[in-house]
Amino acid sequence: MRHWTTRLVRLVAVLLAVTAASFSMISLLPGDLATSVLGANSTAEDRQQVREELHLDDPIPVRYVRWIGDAVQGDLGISYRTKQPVAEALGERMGLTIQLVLMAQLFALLLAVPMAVAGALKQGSILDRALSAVQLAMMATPGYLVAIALMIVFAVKLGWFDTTGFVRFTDSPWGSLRSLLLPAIALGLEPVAMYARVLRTDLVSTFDQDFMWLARAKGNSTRRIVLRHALRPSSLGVVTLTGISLGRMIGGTVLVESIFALPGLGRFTIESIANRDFQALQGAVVVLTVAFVGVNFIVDILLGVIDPRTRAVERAA
Amino acid sequence: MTRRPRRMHRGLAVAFLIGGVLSACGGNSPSSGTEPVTSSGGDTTLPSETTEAPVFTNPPTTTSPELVAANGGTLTVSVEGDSTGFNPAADAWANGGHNVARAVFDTLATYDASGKVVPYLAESITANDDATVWTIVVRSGVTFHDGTPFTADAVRQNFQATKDSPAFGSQLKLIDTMTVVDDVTLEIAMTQAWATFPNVLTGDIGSQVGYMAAPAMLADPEGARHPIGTGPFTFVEWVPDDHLTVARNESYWQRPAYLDQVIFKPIPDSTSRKAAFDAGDTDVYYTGSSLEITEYLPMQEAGELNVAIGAPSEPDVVMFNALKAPFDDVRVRRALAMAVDIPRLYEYLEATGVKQPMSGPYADSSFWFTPSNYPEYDPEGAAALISEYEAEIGPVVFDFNGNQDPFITSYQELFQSMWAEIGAEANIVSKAQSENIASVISGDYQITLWGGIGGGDPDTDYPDFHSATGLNFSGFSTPEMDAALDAGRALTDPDARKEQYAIVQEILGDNVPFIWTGSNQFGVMSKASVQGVGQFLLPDETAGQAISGGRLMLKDVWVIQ
Repeated sequence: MRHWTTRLVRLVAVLLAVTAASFSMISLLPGDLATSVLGANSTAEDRQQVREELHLDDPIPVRYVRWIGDAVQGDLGISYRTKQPVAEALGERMGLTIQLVLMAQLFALLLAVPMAVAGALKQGSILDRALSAVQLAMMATPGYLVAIALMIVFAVKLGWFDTTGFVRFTDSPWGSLRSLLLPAIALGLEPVAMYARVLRTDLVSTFDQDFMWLARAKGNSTRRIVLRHALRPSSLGVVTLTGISLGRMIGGTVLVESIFALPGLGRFTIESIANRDFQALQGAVVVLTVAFVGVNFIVDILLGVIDPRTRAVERAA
Repeated sequence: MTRRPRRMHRGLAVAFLIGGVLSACGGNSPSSGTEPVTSSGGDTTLPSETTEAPVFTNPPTTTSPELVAANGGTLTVSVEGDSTGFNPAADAWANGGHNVARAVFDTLATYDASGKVVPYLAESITANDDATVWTIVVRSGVTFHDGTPFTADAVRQNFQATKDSPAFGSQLKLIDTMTVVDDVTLEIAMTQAWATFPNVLTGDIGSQVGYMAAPAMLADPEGARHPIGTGPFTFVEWVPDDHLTVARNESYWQRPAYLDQVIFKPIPDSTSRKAAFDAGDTDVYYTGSSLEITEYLPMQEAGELNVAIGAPSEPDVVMFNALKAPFDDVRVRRALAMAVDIPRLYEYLEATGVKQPMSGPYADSSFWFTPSNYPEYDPEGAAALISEYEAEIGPVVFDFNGNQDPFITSYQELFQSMWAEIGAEANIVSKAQSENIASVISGDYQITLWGGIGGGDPDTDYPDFHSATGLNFSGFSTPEMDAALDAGRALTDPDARKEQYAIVQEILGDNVPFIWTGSNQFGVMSKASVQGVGQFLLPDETAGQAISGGRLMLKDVWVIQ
């Protein structure tokens, strides 16, 4: 119990630190929020009035405390760009981005695991080297190019998918999965190499363990050995990576959502930056931070489930 | 497969060059390059605005006599980005916002097909002799989508909202008092003469004052999210960054629109926007890239889609510094202009059939166009002028500025080769765009690629041509041209103004401070089943201007069911 309490306290501390840092950084960004709201032709008096209404002249720490006080009550302010409450705007967009990232992670793992297993079983073979080359190519190809190429081939030329647009899962589960498949592939391709290489290395290491020799001696099939005995102890690294790579993936949603014209959190973030919509940007940063920290919190829990030794080690520490 | 990237690259490069110059220059009003204007307003005395009339060089071809416009259908139009809201007095719009606004709102004035400002939602817009008092008479029997009547007081409230707006108040700062004479008549006293007042009532980039919103919407703090106008379509829903839907206004004051619905879909990435149209996910796609338009023209000829070309906007130019040798001598300027083979340029730009050659700041189709002595292509004559100059003064060697984009550099090389043929030696200088702009502003250049001059109402070119503005970067001016520019600014009668601007064009043609390399135009591509893009009927059933930059009129568009 103490273990989880400690982690929760850490989680809150991280959230406070990140929101304070992001609040400060956003406040220090060039550009005047009052000018963004009122336009460049506004008078100095009007801009001053907006500054007073939004308390922009207060010191940053004072503004942060006021903001965090409102934020814990669910009030993230109003987006000047969409005229919506920021919390409402984020709520509308969150589902899409969560689904997109989940599909991208799933795609990455579905591709990485078989590649890793094949590579580990056939170490040093032509297949292993070929897979390694393919993974490197995946890692080196910019997501923007992948997204455009997927769109041109599968949406424009073949017509299998729509180029843009999002169908909500609640409206049509199949339509929803279909609408995000190309963006998910574009987003999920990059981490494939990382996942596959780490998992392959861990599998190779696991294959040398004594219990694996025992499993082989018992006459288990390769398939059974891999699925029942090798994958679980070898997956600690890749599970950890999945959590860490979420940060990169969230960054990737900015690009992918813009290319596929998806109304998600990534596009909301970039539009907020472009329009100096600081309230909305701060709200988006908070949500993305919570997501990142939260997912890594869950990953920690998963690691304990996968390998109870990690909990024991932490307790001992 | 190898051709595609090159074409895309060129499109980007040209857009970069022009866009950069325009944004940095700031000499013209934001609307100057994009709006076409017009001519007579029937029995009204509208001072005409602007530019050139639309040139529909590629009218839609699929309309055949047996096709009859019919109600029905949904049109999906991609736009470049979403707007911050739809309050004309508070939210500054790019093309996307204007397209929504043109569906939901009507403007007090608009452009007829010849490019002249004419009353639209207003019955008439007239001025007293010195343009210090304007009278707007609105159409009777028009109602907003919320059922409230459109009256002179509604116009007053719209103007007042703009005057009170921190963002747009400056646009109407010359309005002193507004008096509602009766239900349909509004009298506006200006603090000083304002001859071009109707120009700002047309609802274009930089002039949103003309869009008439329901007073209830203006008073509602949430009104920007639920626009209410008198336009051909009523607002249905807006999901920011995803779509905005409007539906036919059955109670429209003109013949109701044909389309059941229009969905505006913001797609910020230009490649994706084009791909969405190519894949059939959107019905209408507009672009300012002549390369892309050219790509679609064969498909139009094959009946696979329609292409409508909009009114010409600000031309591209090569600008001389008339204060620096060798370009302080008109013979050299004239010779270099005579050496430029425009069709060869267009072939290189892959813009043949889209860009239109020009001989001055206004396209031939413009109301404002008057012929001048601007030189024709004549390499032999040009070589003779260069020889004459060399014999008297010395060799013609100069620096030719452009930005660092490789495509721009190779475009400059084309000029360089044409000038070399007449004995003039150009050294290409590639600078960072900001650096080149700074050079031009400080007068530290000899000749450069440039833009943002001409194309709009002639008065918007005042800073570029007058000697006393500090923005006349070519350095060329004459007392006669200054006088004509001053006189044109003070007149309200379009024909009288045109006489003054004819003097300006004549002087520019004689002295060649610019090489006019052609107009820029928007193309609007639509599916073969979509009819009427590029058509816009005014209340008297005469043609209005349907495409202005990337801004479209959709009330006369219909879909073959």
